[in-house]
Amino acid sequence: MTPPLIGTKGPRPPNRRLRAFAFDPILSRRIETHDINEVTIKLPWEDNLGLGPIDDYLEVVDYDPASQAFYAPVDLNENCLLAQNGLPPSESNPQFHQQMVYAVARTTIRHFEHALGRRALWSPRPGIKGLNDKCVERLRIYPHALREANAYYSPVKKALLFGYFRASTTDFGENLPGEAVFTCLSHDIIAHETSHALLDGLHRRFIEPTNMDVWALHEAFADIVALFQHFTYPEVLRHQIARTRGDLESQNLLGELAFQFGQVIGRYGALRSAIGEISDVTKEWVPNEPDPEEIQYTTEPHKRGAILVAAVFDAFLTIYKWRIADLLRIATGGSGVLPAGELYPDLVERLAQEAAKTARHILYMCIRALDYCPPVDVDFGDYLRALITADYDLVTDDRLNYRLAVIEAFRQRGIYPRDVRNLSEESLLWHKPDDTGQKAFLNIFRNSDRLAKLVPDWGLTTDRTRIFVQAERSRAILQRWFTNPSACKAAKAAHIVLDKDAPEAFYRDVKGIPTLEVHSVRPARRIGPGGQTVTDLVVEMTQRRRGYYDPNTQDKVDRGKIKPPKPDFIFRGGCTLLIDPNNAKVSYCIFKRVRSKKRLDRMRRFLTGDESQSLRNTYFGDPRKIYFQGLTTASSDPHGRSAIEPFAFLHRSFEGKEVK
Amino acid sequence: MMSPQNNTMQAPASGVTVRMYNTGFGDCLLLAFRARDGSARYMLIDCGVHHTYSGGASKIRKVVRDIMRATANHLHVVAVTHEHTDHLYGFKYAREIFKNVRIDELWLAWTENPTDKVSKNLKQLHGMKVRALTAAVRQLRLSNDPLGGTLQGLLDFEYPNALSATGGNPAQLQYLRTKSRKKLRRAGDYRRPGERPLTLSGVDGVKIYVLGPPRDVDWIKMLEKESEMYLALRGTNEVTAFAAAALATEGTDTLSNEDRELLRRSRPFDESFEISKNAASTHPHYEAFFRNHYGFSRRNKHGPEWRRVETDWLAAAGQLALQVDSYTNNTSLVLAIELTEVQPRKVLLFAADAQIGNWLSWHELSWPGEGEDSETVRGENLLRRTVLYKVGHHGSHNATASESGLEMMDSPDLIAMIPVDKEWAYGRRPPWKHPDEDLLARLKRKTEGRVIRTDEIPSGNRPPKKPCNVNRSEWQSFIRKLDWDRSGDKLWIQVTVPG
Repeated sequence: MTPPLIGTKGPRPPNRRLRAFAFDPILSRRIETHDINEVTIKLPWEDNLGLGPIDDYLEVVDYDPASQAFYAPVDLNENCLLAQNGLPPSESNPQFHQQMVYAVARTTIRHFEHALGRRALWSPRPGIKGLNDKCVERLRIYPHALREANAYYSPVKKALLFGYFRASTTDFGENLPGEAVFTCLSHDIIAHETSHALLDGLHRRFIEPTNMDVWALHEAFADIVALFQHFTYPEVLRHQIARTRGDLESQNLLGELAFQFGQVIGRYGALRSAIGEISDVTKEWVPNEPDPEEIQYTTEPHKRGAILVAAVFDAFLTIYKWRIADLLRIATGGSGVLPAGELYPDLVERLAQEAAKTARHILYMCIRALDYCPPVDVDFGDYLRALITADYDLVTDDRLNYRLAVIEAFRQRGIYPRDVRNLSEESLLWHKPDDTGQKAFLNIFRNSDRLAKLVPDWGLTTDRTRIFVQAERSRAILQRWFTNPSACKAAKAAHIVLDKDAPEAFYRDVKGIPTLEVHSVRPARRIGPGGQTVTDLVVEMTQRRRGYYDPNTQDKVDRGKIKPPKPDFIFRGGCTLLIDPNNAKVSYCIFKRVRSKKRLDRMRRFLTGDESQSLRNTYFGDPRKIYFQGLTTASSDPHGRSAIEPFAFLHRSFEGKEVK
Repeated sequence: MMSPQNNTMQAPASGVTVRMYNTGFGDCLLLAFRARDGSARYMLIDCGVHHTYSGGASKIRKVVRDIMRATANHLHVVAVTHEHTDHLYGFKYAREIFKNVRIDELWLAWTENPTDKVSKNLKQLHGMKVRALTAAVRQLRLSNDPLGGTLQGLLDFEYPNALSATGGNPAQLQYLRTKSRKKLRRAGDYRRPGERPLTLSGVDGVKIYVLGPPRDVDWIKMLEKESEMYLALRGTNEVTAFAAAALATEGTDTLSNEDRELLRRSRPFDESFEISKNAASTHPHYEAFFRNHYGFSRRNKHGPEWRRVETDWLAAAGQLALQVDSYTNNTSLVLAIELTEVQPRKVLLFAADAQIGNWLSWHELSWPGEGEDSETVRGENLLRRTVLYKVGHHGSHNATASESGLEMMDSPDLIAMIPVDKEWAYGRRPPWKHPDEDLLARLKRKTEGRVIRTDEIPSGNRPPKKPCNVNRSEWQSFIRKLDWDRSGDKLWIQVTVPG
């Protein structure tokens, strides 16, 4: 044995570098993109990264049930791999797949945490009868779990399942006919699925199809993260800026998603694109012009989500163009009109910096907005208000017109909140509670000290299990505070219903009082542009009622005429409170009334009407209804055998061919 | 118009009488035409009952006894549209009763020709998919996945024999081939879409057009190309790669060489990367990793069961099930019977269980005019002149094209026939929506209430009630064309379309 060499131990490395495909394997086969398709992802160094890879957030377990085989886990601490930034990109080595899926998922989590200024938690595993949720430390990743053109996040297993499949022998794009295609090698698919999991960790009721926008928002958010993550790879960005001469409205890889996958399943180009697509008729690329009517008739969640994505991307382009206007003037002696030919490399570099900065701002804005959403039944309009309010709180002086650009882009795509008088910034901001409400809240929150104990240290270095345990405790405390009879005014201000004579369809506790679930207690801490730290306490509370497709049954149950039968769906309401811990005041109360008859009717209409007439749905049922069937059955079945996978269902059911 | 003396079914003076038998849940149609010499010519289109219909066997025996009586044991033509039990099983359950039947001609679609290369490949592939689906359903049910039950419902439509390794013709068709006096020998003996209109020997004024199943040129091209590429005639694609793995869940020992080869080719990585479950549980380096993080049993120190992914991948079988289901229905033989001696000419459309693909292909067909008929006949012309429509697939929503189908049937005399048992179909779990409510409503509108169903055969002598918004004299003239089995058995209902 060689004795350790004294004094040769270097400092702990700040980063671990891992190689990955910037897009997907197919772009390495094209001469024009070959050189940029390999990126090296920089992750913070973690001492306890183990075989798999497994770290504090993720565990990659490579079991392929269709092939009845395991693949050996990669050891990223092996000397040879440390010395060359991990394995070189390879489609034929499953260990590279593990490395790439880990690197991209981990980098997505980092963006999320940076935007929110706190640790990300995965959605908990519900305990028996909805009590004592169990912390899920790591999201599991199965890179080869499915043998089909599909990949999804499983909220039941807290896992990402990636599929692989054979390209068709007739419609194979640039692939070889019958060649294996791996979804876990697509940067965009990995980022997309990881974002689903992150969003579920924050809002676990956003997987419930209570209106047309909920699933679409899940899809849109996941696409937004994947898209803007493209801008974090400098070589890719410079290459595309140079190729488009800075015009990101023309066809480019940054604004497109899942190129290889799109080709293989018979599209001519990317799976989805925020900027344009190849026309079915002319086979030419056409830009995606805003159409305010499109939102009226687009119901399929991916397509509907794509409208929101396009709106966000439009806002990005507006701001980017605004930010580079001066650079173009400087570079052209004041005309702002670029001469023909290639751009000077320094200009490319500066344009790339502006694009990267704008992309980061927009991405963080979109992530931060999640803290300003209602806890249930969210729609696109709510999300717009959340975007505007969150950004207003952080950057009150909108010097760069970000909010203006966002509002305008949403308007052009026909996305408005349901009950806002006009689309000015002030009317889009969420309401603040009135004085009576404020007083009632102050009555229970009292002072900053009392609130401080609810907020543990969620800093980016804290142990996540400890955060979870602390948050559980805070939830219990808040639940006690709000259900205390002396706090009835505060409950009322938060639109919580605790009356014994509330409609019978409410779920109740043993004393006959409607149950209240405090969903989440978390700090929202972030650094504003002036360097100031802004912290809010975010509290989410929800309540539920039994819902029935038949309005008569509903009425009878609500009036206590019949014993409630097994419900057809669950109708929820609740609120998100943003509390300023410095003065214990509630800055915003964002609510969905649980007593609202209108909303209940709307949800019933959504679930019972307008059934998507795909062949699949006729045979296998409407995924929305099946979701609630699973939910209402699962609540009486603690092992969750009947729980369904909304995302698996979503992908499979809507991609079936429509019957003409 | 039963003749009480000999109990045979009378042919109308002109045109055709179409009798729809009530087998429970299945198609069985007997057509009577009058020949030049005044005698009757009988044509039987399908004779089946669904194999899961309880009491179906005894019910169809009664039906077949009636057919034998009605035709005096002589069927001039028997047409079998496709291989599902609800179109075929009369020839199984009532074989004894058919013993003395004389069959002059048997009409089968080109897809039943054992020497047709395309149909052979399609069948082989289809058989493999059915077996894979069966295996997947078994695994799903073992793990209590509700999808297992749903898929079983789709599989129930498949003829059980399709589970045999070759997916070859079932015994019932073999039986009919030997029974038929005219043998099916050459490709030309099978019915193909677009072939010269058929006639019935001795009958004037009747032309029969074959509309489907389509011979899809792209399909044929692809299969021919593939056969050059691989000896096995089928490449790996998303569906076959999945199917091969599903088959392997039943064990690899019983796989045919072809399936084994497919399984090998469909693996994502070189075999040297694979560590089987057995090998993993004793692996010198990775045993602890796989046990802790995935787990092999329920014991402590094994990864938790709720996070494992043993059967999630099998849910993709849904896609397979849809393909399997539409395949057989799309191989349906579709016949349009034209009465040529009346102006405008009348068409009776027997759509079997054809799904949308099949319907769309009819619009590509055309027949050049012959003799004094100098006009070219197109698929659309036949649809426009349809006066009797045997509704596709018991009225399911996906077997009647709308814009390019039902909406083209412009005749004010249109009548629709649906062999169905709604109570039984909707009572299944999950339900089969046969007939589909929307389609039924549309049919009732288009036909002004003239929808005949096997589950709504009138009782005794009381004719069907007139819908409220229909003209009385029109309804009376419809009732006059109608007849039904007045015994308590409610075995049949029939309508006459004069020529």
